[in-house]
Amino acid sequence: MKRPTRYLTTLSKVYLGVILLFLYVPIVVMAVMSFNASPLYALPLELTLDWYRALASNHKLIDAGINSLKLAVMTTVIASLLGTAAALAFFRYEFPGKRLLQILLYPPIAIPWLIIGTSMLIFFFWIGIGRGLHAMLLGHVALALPYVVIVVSARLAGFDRTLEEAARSLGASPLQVLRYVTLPYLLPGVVAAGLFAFAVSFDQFVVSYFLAVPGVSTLPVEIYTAIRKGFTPEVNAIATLVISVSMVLLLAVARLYKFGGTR
Amino acid sequence: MAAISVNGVSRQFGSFRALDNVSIDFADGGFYALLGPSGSGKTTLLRVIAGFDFPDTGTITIGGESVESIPVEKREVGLMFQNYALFPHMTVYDNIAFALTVRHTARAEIRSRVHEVLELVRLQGLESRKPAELSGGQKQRVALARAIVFRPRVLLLDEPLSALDKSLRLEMQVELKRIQREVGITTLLVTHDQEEALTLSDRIGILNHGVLVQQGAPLDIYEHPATPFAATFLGDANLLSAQTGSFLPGAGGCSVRLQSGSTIQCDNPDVLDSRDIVCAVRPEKMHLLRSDETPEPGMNTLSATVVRHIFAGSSLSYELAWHDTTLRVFAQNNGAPLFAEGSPVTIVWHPSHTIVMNA
Amino acid sequence: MSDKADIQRRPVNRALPVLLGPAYLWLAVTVFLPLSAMVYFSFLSETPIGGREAVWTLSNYGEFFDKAFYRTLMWRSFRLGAEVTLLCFLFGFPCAYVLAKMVKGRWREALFLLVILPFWSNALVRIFSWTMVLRGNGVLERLVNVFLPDVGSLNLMFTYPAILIGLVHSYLPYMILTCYISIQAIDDDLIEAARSMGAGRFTVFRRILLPLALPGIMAGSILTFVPVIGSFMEPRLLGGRNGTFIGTVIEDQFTAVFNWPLGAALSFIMLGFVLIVLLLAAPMIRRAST
Repeated sequence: MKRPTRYLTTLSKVYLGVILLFLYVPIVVMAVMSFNASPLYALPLELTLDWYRALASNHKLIDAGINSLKLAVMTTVIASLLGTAAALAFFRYEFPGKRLLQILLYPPIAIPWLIIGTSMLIFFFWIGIGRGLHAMLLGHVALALPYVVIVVSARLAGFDRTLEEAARSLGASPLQVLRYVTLPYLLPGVVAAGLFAFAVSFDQFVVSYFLAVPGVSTLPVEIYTAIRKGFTPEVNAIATLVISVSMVLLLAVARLYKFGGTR
Repeated sequence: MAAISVNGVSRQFGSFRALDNVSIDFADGGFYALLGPSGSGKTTLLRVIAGFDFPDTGTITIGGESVESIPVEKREVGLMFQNYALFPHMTVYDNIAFALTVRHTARAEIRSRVHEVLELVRLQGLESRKPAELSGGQKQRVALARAIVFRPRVLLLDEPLSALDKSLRLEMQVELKRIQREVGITTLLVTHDQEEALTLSDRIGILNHGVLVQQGAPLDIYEHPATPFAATFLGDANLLSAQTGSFLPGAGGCSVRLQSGSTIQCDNPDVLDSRDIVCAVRPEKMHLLRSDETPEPGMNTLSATVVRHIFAGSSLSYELAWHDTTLRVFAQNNGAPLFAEGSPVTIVWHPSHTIVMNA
Repeated sequence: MSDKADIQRRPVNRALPVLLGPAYLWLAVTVFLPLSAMVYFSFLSETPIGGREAVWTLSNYGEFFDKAFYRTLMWRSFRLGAEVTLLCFLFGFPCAYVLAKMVKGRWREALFLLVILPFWSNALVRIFSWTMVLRGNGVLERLVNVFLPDVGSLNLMFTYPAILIGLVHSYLPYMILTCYISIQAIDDDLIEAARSMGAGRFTVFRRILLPLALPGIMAGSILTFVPVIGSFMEPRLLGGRNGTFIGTVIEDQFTAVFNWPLGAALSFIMLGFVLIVLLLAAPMIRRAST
């Protein structure tokens, strides 16, 4: 007997395949080209590891990579701490102005980063904070914070408050309740939020671009400069390395936490 | 309105046989219940009839028209879902009017039909509410109104009352029956609740492991279950296994020797070419005597000991130890003295109440 | 709710500033004060750096309304934003539907992860890799020529379509993600109920799926539209000389021309237009959130 929906299922699988192809083609091309001997990306392909060797002695890119890592780690720690604290406050307390404070989280997300970045440039210059890594850290945390609050709040929304009450009734002090009940429950949410914060910072181009000073920049800014100056396959090499590492890390985290976390 | 006929339908999911050569007919205008435990295939059968799923083999006709290759939206079947499935973004009116608007019915006609059906389910005045603003019983009525407003050929109900609490469920059962009678639509109800099946339907089909075990009028199935499964799934039953080949037909009745050694009498059953026999007796058909009382002649008797009694207001239920088996006997709370725990008693029942089945 | 009354009676005064203070202080220094400073700058005649005297003026805003050049660019940016958003919806929504409703079990988890993985790789790098695919004699051209030898040169690089492709690629995962979340929340029974009442596939899509998935569609559209309007890196890399948009002009004011007041004014005009679009879309957003 025929099931009339079968051809639709096949069609939808094909469609999904086409979309995935579209999403991955550039990434794969990038990776393949990093092994191509021609610096002008000429085809056919001639395999070489030259660009990875060249990368090892390209201090500009390597320093920028180290800067990016440092910034991303610091952003993750600071944004996770501040954001989780704010999410806890919103979850726990009712107070006048709460709604306003929650709405104020959205400008960093809803205003184009171009405007956020240039306004930081103006303000930091004006009051003497200036540009450089410290200015980028200020900016990155600001961009990551709202995401952390939103992700952690989403996790908290599913929290059964009677668990805290049960712990209290068993004699736990408020701090012990936080330590043994609330925070362990929150952990998957905080990890997901931290991952977001790391990605926002590590991939951040726009804000870093306006706050970088010559000689002290991040990987995306350095890559952009390299691309603007002319094609350079070393960029392919480092981009391939970064993409592979970040995808492997994300897959590992996804396996561990299954995103939002299991209940 | 139309009759449904299911012929030799099988449906396999991987290695799981959800329906195994099921044949059943539903006559025009009747109220049928498909009863079975979860995983018995009753929902699969409903989905196959509705057109959400398609049989591997076998045929289905609705009103004499073969429908296996007709998709749901063309089958003209009304469906009521377990969780109502009301569209949350539409008002009560729009929910009910949906089936008519997709058929491009004229606006005035839609209005009169919706009001007519709202009156039928007694929900006038709630047209502009959203589903979230309705109580459970009201949602139920909207779902029913929505399923019948386009005058489908048959109405299919998938555990429609299971989300309601008990008193509301009883009220809705009465309503459902009334509306079905008024509309006269062939109705098929899937349920695991035997009481619901008994109260609502004219005919019941019992499914187990994808096989149609028995079908018939509720009273018939209750009094003459065809298998031990049917006997225990629909109502309570004390099962008494017989010795192989001990079934002896006689003139006025027949006798069966049980595995415990006692012999009991029964009416001549119409089954039985098999030698493996199980007997069943409903707990309410048995009554208890003190062990020193003499039962009326011609009655079946078993000697047992009272394990405990459970008091349930108007009635009592006794648990009795008889050989290695626990038997249950129901008694009316008619003022007769209770049998104390541990006291020896005689269980007595009329031979015509012995149900004889193939094991 | 009695729960709420209970919360209010707790001693909140001590904990609140400790929990909220740091986060909002940070946001004040890095977002709210800078934006205010930018408003201030947009009314100045000069960039007040290096001892230059600046006076109050409206001329930076006047510039936009005087010169057709800026208006054309603003319009081009809006068209780009609208087209990218529409394309993301057209390709992303069916993809989200297939993922949420047609793929089951472990496969769904794996495919879902595959779809959102690219989104964790650097946006700049992905745009850069498109230059390798789209350029003359690049990967795409060679591939097309293998199958259709007569086509010859595609000349896609440094064109408007190239920018479209790159931006759709960048923002498609957002749209798929937000649509997926809201489609997944739609009970299958609703779709089956609609079909049992005689609705065909298109009617189910229009009357059930689309309205119920509206929150996800709106979220995805805003997450795409807003950053695309302000994009400057993508048009520069993929558009070359055809890549002039309001975003690139604003960037120039800050990095090349050093006319910060004009850049600030153009930023706020752009922001104003974005707000107008969001307000026009507000009825839909409101309907989506009820």
